[in-house]
Amino acid sequence: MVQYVPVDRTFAALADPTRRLVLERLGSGSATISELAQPFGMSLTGMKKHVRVLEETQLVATEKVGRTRLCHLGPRRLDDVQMWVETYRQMVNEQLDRFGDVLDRTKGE
Amino acid sequence: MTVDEKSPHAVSFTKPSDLEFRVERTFDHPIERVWAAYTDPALIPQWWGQGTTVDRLDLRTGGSWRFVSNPGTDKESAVSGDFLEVSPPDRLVQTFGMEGSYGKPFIQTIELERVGDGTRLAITSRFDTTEERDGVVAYGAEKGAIGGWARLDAVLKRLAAG
Repeated sequence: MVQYVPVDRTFAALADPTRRLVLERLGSGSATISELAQPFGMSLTGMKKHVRVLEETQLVATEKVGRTRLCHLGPRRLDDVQMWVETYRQMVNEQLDRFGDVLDRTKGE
Repeated sequence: MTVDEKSPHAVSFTKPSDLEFRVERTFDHPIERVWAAYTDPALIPQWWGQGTTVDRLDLRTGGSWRFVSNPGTDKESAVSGDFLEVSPPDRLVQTFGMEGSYGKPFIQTIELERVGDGTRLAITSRFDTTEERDGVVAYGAEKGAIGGWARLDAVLKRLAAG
């Protein structure tokens, strides 16, 4: 089940290029932490940190398989309406903030 | 001075019905000034975003309007519509179409209301179906994300397809 995750945390998770590439990689199938770390020449510990951030925002889910941890895409998707509503609200918020600035600036003209 | 001490200028986003969404915000300016600024073609490019220019704005009932965003770039897009009702300083009803992209034009009602010394601006968008409404929210969010979130957007699209 998809739990509520604040959108800014999701975007923070996605702001990192390594994590975006990890998601792209997982889009084509599950992978272990070491399989994810290898192309980046990254330590397992380093990759584990990235995976944990993605897991916390439900962009990635993991499961223990024997002695390795298998990663795949999590339940969070583009069709998460709540996420779009929040993104849209933020966009309108910025637009109307600018409108408020224009009102302040043109005061007395 | 402010209407709501906690967050005087926060935008509220609500769905008053299955076919509508509404955005509301309060400004610390008289209603006449808010109306004049909101409908001033010289000011619109300063707050609309995405390098928007006003191609046409014939502010009268039966008139029409057209804004072009990111003109002259590969992200150029246009929104346009007709004014169904122009009643300064408190009510403007228009159609709102996104040219060459998502969905049919919808009806946007802009209402201004005096609140203390300030003005509450409410923009209600009404659609033929709930699906169109939610689609426009998603599309609008995606358009808004074009700036800083362009690369992220591409990732999300791939995720949705996968």
